[in-house]
Parts: sequence; C-alpha cells; structure tokens
Amino acid sequence: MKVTRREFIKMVAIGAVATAAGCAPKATPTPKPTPKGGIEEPEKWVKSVCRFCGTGCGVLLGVHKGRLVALRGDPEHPTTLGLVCAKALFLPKVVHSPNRLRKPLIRKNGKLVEASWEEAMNLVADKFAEAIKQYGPDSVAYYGSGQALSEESYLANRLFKGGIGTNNVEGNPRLCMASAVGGYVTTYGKDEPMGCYDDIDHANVFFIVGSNTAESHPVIFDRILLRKAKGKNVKIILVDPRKTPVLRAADLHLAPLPGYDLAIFHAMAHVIIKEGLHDPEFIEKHVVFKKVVEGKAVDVTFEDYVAFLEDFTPEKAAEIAGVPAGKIRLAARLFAQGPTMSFWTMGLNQRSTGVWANNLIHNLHLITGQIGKPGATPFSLTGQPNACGGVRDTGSLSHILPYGRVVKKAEHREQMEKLWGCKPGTIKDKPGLHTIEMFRALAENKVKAILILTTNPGHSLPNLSKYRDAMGKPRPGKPFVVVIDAFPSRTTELADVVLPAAMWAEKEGVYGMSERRYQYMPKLVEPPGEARPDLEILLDFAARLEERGVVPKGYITGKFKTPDDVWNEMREASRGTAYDFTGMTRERLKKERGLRWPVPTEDHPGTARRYVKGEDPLLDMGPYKDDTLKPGEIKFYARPDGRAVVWLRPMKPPAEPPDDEYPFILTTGRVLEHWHTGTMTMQVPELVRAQPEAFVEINPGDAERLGIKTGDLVKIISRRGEATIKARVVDIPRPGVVFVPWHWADENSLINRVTIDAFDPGSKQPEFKVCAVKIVKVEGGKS
Amino acid sequence: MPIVGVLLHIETSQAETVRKTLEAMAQVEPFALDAPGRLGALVETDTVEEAYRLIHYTLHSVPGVLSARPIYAHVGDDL
Repeated sequence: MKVTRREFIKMVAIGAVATAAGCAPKATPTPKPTPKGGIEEPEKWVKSVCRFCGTGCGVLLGVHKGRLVALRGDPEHPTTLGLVCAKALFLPKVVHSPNRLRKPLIRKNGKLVEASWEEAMNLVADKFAEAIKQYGPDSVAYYGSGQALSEESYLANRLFKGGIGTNNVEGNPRLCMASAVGGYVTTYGKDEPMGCYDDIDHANVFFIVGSNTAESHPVIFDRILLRKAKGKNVKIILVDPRKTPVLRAADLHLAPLPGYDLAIFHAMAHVIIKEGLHDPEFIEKHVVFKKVVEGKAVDVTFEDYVAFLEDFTPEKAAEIAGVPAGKIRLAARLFAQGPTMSFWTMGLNQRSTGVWANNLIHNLHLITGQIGKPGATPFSLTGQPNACGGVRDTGSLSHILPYGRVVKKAEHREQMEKLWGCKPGTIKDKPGLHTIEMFRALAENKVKAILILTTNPGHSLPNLSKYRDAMGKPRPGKPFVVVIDAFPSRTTELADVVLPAAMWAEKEGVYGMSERRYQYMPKLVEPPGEARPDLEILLDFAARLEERGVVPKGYITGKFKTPDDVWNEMREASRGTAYDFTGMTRERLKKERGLRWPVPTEDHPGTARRYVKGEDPLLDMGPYKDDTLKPGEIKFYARPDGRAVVWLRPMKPPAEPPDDEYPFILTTGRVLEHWHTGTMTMQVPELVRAQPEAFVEINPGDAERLGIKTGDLVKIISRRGEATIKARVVDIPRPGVVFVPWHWADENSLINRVTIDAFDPGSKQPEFKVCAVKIVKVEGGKS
Repeated sequence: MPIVGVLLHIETSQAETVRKTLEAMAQVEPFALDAPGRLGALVETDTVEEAYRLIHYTLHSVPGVLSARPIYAHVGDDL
C-alpha cells in the first residue's frame, strides 16, 4: 500500500497523541478534505527541552536545511510523556524571527549604532575595569536570568564573586521564585522540592494556590487531569482570587482577597488539629515548632502552635480573607485526607509575605504527614526554564554560593575559593545588593556598570518608571549598562552596549527544571548574523578583564574553553552537598532524558524523592548518611536536627492595602499566548493576533458601579504611575480586584509602572501581586 | 502547512457529544483513544494561526472539553 507523505505525518501525529495518552488509538479518523499547501519532512529529529516555563517538557525538534521546521512532544520523556503546550509550537518561528539582534550595538551621540565585536567588547571591558579600579569591586554588578543556561549563570557568578570580588550578582528569579526558596530553606534547610512530577499519579487531592496551572503550566495541568480521569474520587482545590481555567476541573474554589490567604492556611491548620486530622506520630518524629521573637527564631511547642491557631478560626479567616468558613473547613478536611500534592507559583511568591505564605503551605503538609510519600508533597512550580538549575542551584544570587552554600558562612566561602582557585578572602562575607537594591543603587549612580544577561528589567521591574530612569536617563555619572540578548527589548533601548546572543537551539547547555531534573539541549542550528552564545561572550569578557588586571590572570581563561569544561567544575562544586550530581556526566545527559539530583555516582539513576531512605542516595553515603533509618523513613537531613520546621507566622496584610483613594487591588499575571515580557512570543504574528493588546479584567459588579463596559479605555492609577488599557468586564476576578497581564511593552500598557516595589523582608521578592489602584474611565476612549 | 495531533481531556459523561461536535468541524478529525476521559484529534489547517485558534479557542469552548493540547505539530513550510 502506498502511503503519501501527508498520510504518513498524520499517522505519526496519531501515534504521538496515543503515546502521550498512554494508550492505543481505537480507530483511525475519517479523512477530511485536505487544505492547500505542501509538506516538508524534517531531515532529522533531535531530542531537546522546551524554552518556555519551568515544566521542562521534553521535545523533539525537526531540523531541515539548517532550520527548525517542526516540533513535537517527546514520547520517551519520563515525566512530560510527549505532552507540550501551544507556545512551544511556535518556538521555531521565534528562533528564526527576522527581528533577532545580529550585530553588536554601541550608543554614540545618544543613538545605538552597529559596531564590531572587538570595539564593543573593548568598550565593555574598559568601562568595567575603570569602575573597579576607581571605585572598587562593588561598583559593578551582574543581573542574570532563569533563562540563561546553567553553565552561563555559573560562570558569571564565578567571575563576579570569585574573580572581580563582588557579591553584586542577581537575577530575575528574585522576581519570581525567591519566596519559594525562602520557604524551602527556612522549613527544610535547603532549597528545591523534595517531590517530583511522578507524585501527580499518586495524589488524590491537588491543592493549587496562586497558580493558573491550566494556562501557565498546561502540561502539569494535563497530568493532573489525567490523574483525575484515572483515579477514583480525586479532588482539586483551587485557591485563587480569579476564576482561572483551572476552575473547569476544580471541585472547590476559595477566592481570597489577594494578600490575605495566610489566614486561610492557618484556619485550615486550626480545623485539621481541632478535628484530630493531624498526624501526631509524624509530628513527634520529624517536626519542630518555631516563631520569631525580636528578630530571632525560638523553639516553641506543639501546644503553643495550637494556642496560636486559636486566633484563626474559619470564621475569623473568612472575615479577613473574604472566603466562606464552610469552604475553609472543607478544604482542610480534603487536604488531610490526602495523599495531597500542593502546587503554587507567583500568587504565593510575589508578595511581601511570600516566605511566610510558603511556610504555611509546608505547615499543612507537616502537621498532616502529607510529605515524603507517593502523591504527598509540597511542590513549587517554576516560571522560567532554568530558574532552578541555573540560578537557584548555582548560587547566582547576591546572598548565596553554588549548591546550597551561603556567602555568610566562612566554611562555604572557603570551599568555593579553594575550588575556584581564588585568594582566600576574595568572596565577600556579606550579601551583595539584591535586585531592588541593585537598581536603586543604579539610580543613585552607586553601581557604575552593570551587565544584564537574557532578561528585560526595563519591562519587568515593579515601580518601573523609577528603574527605567536609573538605567537610561542621561545624567552626569550615569552608570554604564550592557545588555546581552537575542531580541530588542525595553531594556536594550536603555543600554550603552547591546551584544547579540545566540538563543535556544543555537547553543548547547543544560537547563534544570522544577523537579530537580537537569536536561541537556544540543545546538541544532546556527545563530543569525554575528550573534554568539552567551557563554562565549562571558569568556571573552572575562579574558579582557584579566588583561586589564581586574581579574587574576588565568582565573577564567586558564580553565574554561567550552560548556563541558564549566559543567565538569559544576559537578565538582556539588560534591558532598545536598545537591550532589557528580554522577551526571555530560555523556549521560546527552543520552538520557534528564536526571534528577541527587545523582552522586555515575551509575545512580537519579532521585524521585529526597529525604526518604531507600530513595535518596545521600542517606546512604556522604555527610548525610544515616544507617539507623529503615526504608521509607524520612529525615530532613539538610537541617541540623533532621527535623522540618512548622512556623508560627502572624497574619500580615499586604504592603499597600486598598483604601478610599485607591479602592481596588491590582493583581498582575499571564495569558496563555504570551510569555513574560513578550520578547519571544511577540515575534510570532499568530500569537500577537490572538492576544494583540493588554486588557484589564474588571468584575461585572464593579464595572457597573463605575459605568465601564468591555472595550472602554480605562486608566489604572496607583501612587507610582498609570497605565491606559481596554477593559474586559468578566466574571473572572473577584469583586474589588482587577487583573492585568504584564506582557505588553507599549507605553500605555506597561503595567509595572503601576505595581509596587515593596518586597518580602526575607526573600527580597517584590509584591507584584498586590497594590492599591483606582480605575478611571477615559471619556470617549472607546475602542 | 500545519498538521497537529491534539490530545483532549474530556468529561467522560459527555464523550459521545464531544466526539460528534468535533466530527462536524471541517478541519478536525477526532479519533477515539483506549482511555477514559481522553480523545484524540488531528487538526489540519492552512496556517499555524488557524490551527492555534482552532485548538485554543474553538476546541476549548466545546462543552465537555477540559483541555486540548497539541502533542505533535508539523508546521512545515508555514514557517
């Protein structure tokens, strides 16, 4: 039988769908008339990893004549099972966009003009060297990204902290994940989830908080739906001030006022203990209770915790958070029933109480023993593809060092100085500037030169006008701003030098996603024009700093030529730590569909669940070894006493609650079609046409009072700035709350001019999710 | 031109209605899967944009559809 190419592709597509569904097709579909156009079969299919969120979907890329022409989910991928979302479909188009940056740009007479790499790199190195020599190492800074490859972030961190001698190393995960890090570290001693995506297949209750999983992590959502379809009596609890598409599958919806959900979590704990649904044996063995008194953590008892919770009856929480007490009771009972898997993202993290909110989710798992067993785990989802592996794990933030080390600990600094070959005392003992401080220091001309890599702070920072001025407003002593990126952005327009970067599929390296899985991505196509891989640019930069005497000769150039060289040192840096992945050789990563650390030996298959004897290899070897445990027993070994902490955190309102003058709460977020600041997705005409402009969602009741209809132009005004965009009157946000997605870059739509730069005192993560605004209809401003 | 294999999660109780609705769509070829709550579909359109709109708006608006995900996308010369 002769099969046409089209029929063949259809058969492949059917097979891929069936594989992803974990079954066989029952019958082939009835053919329909074929539309016009031809079919081009790729020359080869190569395994890789998606470029967008932190789910880490395995993909197969079709390459034809030096271009990416097709993409499909990788059916052999062990955790994403061949599933991908729609944005991934357009990745080839993003890579081959005609708008890519192709040549270095230098600002001359106020305008960015093309330059040679030699001229641009010499200028960058001169400016950084001049600042370091004149004002010291802390006059320069690096601002990186959860989209950079792990090797890139590690090398930049090494260069700045150990070479130049400044801890002014930050990255955009400070804006999205820092509170999750704070939650894990303060509760369990080390960062990163202990569970994995496999737990989805065992959970009976999904507790989804501040996460529009259906749109922002659609593949995870599909796995949840799959579990719901297969399992008996599987329940989904959604805690979100909006009726997001998650609600389609949810059994219970709690819609709190943004910023007030701490009361709900405490009230759930109150119900769980009052009704005897807690796990006294687990608590006795594995938990301690703490609260902060005069700035110091002190031990308290379970009885103290119970007394503390007396203030959080469901009725009181209902008053505070605006959620019916009955729903809180029901959520508590379902949670305790388990096995329960919690998922959360920005709704919990982007808050001035982000760490506390994270702690309270962990509290619920700890008092019920819903942790460390299949289907029971607290799991923070990640917004970027490499915030975990690239920034959190490599220690590329101002207060940390690679693989769970912190700059404040002498022992940790000494370990890294030895490995990096620095003079003792090179790494400073105090944290550098965190993100908001860093951009404030730029505004004050205290940071003289900054290198920004693969991120767009000219769009993504809160209270944006202030920080755009910091980067770009001409003034005496204005800092020198260098941006490495693949596309023009609202940040490149402020830069003094723009360096064109190769992007995903044009360079090789490793991404580490939310479940501790590190995955290798090969280079498949050539970058456009003169664009270069970021690692190559960083190596070039380091070499020029060495030449200028501000970094020891050979500190970088004597050790690294390729990503492999960097990777091998990273493995060594992890040795003996709670992250140990010394067994993840480059060769293994190239062959396998990623590996979940710890992987302490080259024959270890990776770890599904940390802290569990029999699963976590670190309980059998190295500094955390414990032979007294039986298989399946838990030990939170990253804490000195091996016990996790239940924190007594008081209820604290957001930094800027609504008032008479600014009566609405603005919360920002995402839409399915676009990703972050849109530098990639806005390159795709189809996605732009699908969601062409920003909008503000207003509850119908609020809109009626204000006389606003869908399509009306409205101003969203805060104490910091305003945005002018079209209204969508929809029963999605709860009354009193307005929602604006933050992807659009045009002047009127930059919603971060409105958001607040208050931040969590622990994690330093800004409160994007809550600020007070007023809504004013623009008369005559109808679309 | 795109050929997209789509995996749909559906309300089991509405499986037959969903299948019939999809069957009536010109650019959609549904196919049954040996798994409850799931249905496959081939989407074949002139442009990626059409495929995208069809999957994310049209299919998602069908009563009984909980999600529709492209699993395999051949985009060929539409790039």
